[in-house]
Amino acid sequence: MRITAITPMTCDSGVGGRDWLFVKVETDEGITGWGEGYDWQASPSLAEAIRVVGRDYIGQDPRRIDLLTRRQWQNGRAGVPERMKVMAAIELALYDIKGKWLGVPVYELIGGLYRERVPLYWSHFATYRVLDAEALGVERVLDMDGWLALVDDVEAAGFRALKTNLLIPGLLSGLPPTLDGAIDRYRIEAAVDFVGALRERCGPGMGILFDIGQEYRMGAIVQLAKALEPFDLYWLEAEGFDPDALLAARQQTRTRLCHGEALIGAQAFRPFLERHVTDVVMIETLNNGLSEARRIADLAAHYDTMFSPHNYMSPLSTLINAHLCAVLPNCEILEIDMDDVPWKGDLIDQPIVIEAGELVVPDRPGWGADVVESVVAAHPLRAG
Amino acid sequence: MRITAIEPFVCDGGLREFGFVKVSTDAGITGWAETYDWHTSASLATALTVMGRRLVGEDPRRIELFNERTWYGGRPGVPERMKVIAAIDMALHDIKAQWLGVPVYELLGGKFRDRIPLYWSHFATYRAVWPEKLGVEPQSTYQEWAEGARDVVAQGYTVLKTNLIQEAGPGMRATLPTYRDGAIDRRTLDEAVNWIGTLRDVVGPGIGIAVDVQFDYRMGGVVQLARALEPFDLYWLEVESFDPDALLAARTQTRTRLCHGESLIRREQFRPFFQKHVTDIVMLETLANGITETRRIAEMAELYDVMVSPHNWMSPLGTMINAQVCAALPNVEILEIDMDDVPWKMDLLTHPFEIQDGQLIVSDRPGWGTAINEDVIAAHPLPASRLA
Repeated sequence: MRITAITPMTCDSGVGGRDWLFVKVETDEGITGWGEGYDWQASPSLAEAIRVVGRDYIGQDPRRIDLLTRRQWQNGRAGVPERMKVMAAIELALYDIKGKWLGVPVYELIGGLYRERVPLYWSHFATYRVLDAEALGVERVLDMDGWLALVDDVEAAGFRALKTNLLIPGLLSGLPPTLDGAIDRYRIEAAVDFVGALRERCGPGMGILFDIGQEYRMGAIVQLAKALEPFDLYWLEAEGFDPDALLAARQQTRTRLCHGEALIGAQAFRPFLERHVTDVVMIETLNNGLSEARRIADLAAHYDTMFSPHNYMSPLSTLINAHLCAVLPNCEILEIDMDDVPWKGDLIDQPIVIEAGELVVPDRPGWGADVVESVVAAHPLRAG
Repeated sequence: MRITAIEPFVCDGGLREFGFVKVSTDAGITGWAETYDWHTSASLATALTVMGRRLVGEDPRRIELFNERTWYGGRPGVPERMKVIAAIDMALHDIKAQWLGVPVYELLGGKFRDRIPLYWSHFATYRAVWPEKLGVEPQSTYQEWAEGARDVVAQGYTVLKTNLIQEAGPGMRATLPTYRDGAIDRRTLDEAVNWIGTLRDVVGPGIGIAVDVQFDYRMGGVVQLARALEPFDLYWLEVESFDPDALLAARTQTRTRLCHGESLIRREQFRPFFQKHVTDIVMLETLANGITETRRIAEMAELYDVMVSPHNWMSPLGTMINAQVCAALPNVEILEIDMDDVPWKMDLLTHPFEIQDGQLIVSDRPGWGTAINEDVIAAHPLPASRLA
C-alpha cells in the first residue's frame, strides 16, 4: 500500500480562535485516512506546512507509522515543536488507514480495549454562551442566574463534572486577561463569586474544573488556588513551562492542579512527571500524534500520574481521543464541548454516542467515522 | 474470541532450560510464547498453570486490560509475577496478530527495519566448555579458540561476544572463572587480557568484541577488568548490578563502554539507571518483561538517549519474538544470537528464521511467524533433578 495524496483542509469552527484543520491521506488501495491538526489562530500556516511536508510521504507505505514519523522528525531538525504538529496530524491519518486496512478499531492496534466507556466532563460550561452565542445560535447569557440555570442541561445529560472559565457578569469579553501574568483582587473575587455560586447550585456531587489557560504565572496561580480551596475543585488548570514553578505553586495550596495541554513530546513532559508536579496531566493528542500521546500517557503511568486528553477541537478529535482513552489504564476523564455550533456533528458521517455522561467507544474500523468534506467546505476560514 | 486453555511446557535445552506457554482460543488461533527463568522453569510453569486458569473465558485481544489487572491484582512489586504476565502478554500478541493476519510488528508502530544486525554470542565459550553438548571437537588454547572467529567473520558477522574462558591445559576442557566474592584477582585479569588480546589480534580492528561477565564482579572488579581491557577497544563490557550509582562510578573510571540490564524487570528498575545515564545502551530481557513492558522500557530508554539490545539467550522462538520487537522499535542497536548451540534447536520451530550476512531477516508471516513443534519439546524432557 502506498500513500498517493495528503490534503489539509481548514474550517471556520465559529468559535473565536478555534480553527479546525483536517488532513486527508489517500492510498493506492482506495483506503482514505483522516487526521486532525491543532493550532490556535494560525491553522493556515500549519495547513501549508502539512501540504509541503506531506509531499515527502507520497509513495511511502502508510503502515510503517513510526518510521515515517521518525524520518520526518530527523529531517525536520528535531526540537522544533511546530514540525511535531505537522507529523502528528499526518500520523493520526495513518492510524486511521491502518485500522481500516485491518478492519479493526484503532484501539486494537495499541493494546486492545481496556474500557468500553470513557467518562466525560462538560467543557467550557457557559463560556461560549458569553463569547460565541451567535455562532451557537443561542441567546447570549451574561448574568450569574442565567449561567446557573445552564447547570440543568449538564445534569439532565448525566454529566458528573463540568469545566468553566473566569466569567464576570456583564462583561462581554468574558475572560479578561491580565497583561503581566499577575492577578488582582477584582479577578480573585469574581472567581470566588462564580465558582462559589456554581458549587452552591450543583451541590457537592458535581466535579467543578476551572481553566485559566496560560494567563497567570506562579504567584497568581497560588493566590487563585488558595482562594478557591473552599469549593473543592476537581482541578484548577494552569499552564506553565517551568516545572519547578508549578511544583512550588502546588505545594502552597490544597487545590488540585492540572496542566500539560501546551506541551509537545514526552521529553517536554518528563521534568514535570519526574517531579510529580501534578497527579493528572492534559495531553494534546492532535499535537503529539497517537504514538507519542501513548508514550506520554505511559510515562505518566510510570510516575503514578493520570492523564486526560485535551479535546477542544472537532468531533474527529473526540473519536481519536476515544481510542487513546479506550486503551490506557491511567485515563481519568475526557473533555467534551457539548455546547457548540449546531452543525458540529455534521462534520463526521457517524454519530458520537454519549450515554449518561460517558462516551461509548466506537467499534467501527479506524477512528469509526470519516470527515464530511462538504461540511468543511461550507465553512471556509474568514479573511482576517 | 475467548481463551480456552493456557498450557506451559518445559524442555531441556542442553545448555539451559527452555520454557514455553501455549494459549488456545475458541477461534482456533493458538498463541505461543517463551518463558524465562534460570534453573527453575518448572516453578514458572506451575505459576502459569495456576494463573492461567483465571484467564479462561477472557478475550485475548484486550492485552492492556490483562496486564493491568494481573499486575495490580497480583500484588505489584513481585518480579516473579511479572514473568508470568510477560509470558502471557507475548502469547496474546501472537494471537492478536494472527487474528489480524499480520506480523506482530504491525501492532508496535509498524515495520521500522527489515533486517536486524546480529552479534554472535558466547563465541568460543560453549565450544571450549561444553564441546560434547555441541557435538564438536574439544580445543584447549586461546589461539585455537580465537582462530574460530575467522569463520564467524566470513559469515558476515561484525560483532561477537565472548566470556572469560580460561585455558586448562592440553586435552582438558576450559573453565569459566568461579564466582567467589565479587572481587577480581590478578590471574583472572591476566587471562582476560591474554584471551581478548589474542582474539583482537585474529579479528583485527574492524570487528566488535563484546565481553560478558554477568554478575561475577562488583564495582571494584568491574573497574579493574574494564581498565585492563581498554587497549582492545571493546564493543561493550557487559556487567550486571542493581545499584545504578555503583555502576555509574565504575563507568566514570574507565574508557571501556559498559552495558547492563538483562536482569532488570519493568521500568521501575530501569528508571534510576536511565536518569543517571549510567550506560548508553541497555540489554532488555523481552521474555521476562513481555512485549508491552519491553516496548515501554525501550521508549523510556529513548527518552534518555539510550539504545537497547535485547537479551536473546533462549530458544529460537525467543529470537522470533525479539525479531518483531527489533523490527518495530527505533532505538535498537543490535541483537544477540547463539549460533553455536545444541544441534536440534531449530527443530523447535515450524518456520525457522533466516539469517543473511550476519543480519536477521524479519519474518512477514502472521504473529511471530512460527509456531512450536510440541513433539520436539516432548523429546527433550527436563531431568528429574530439575523437577520438584
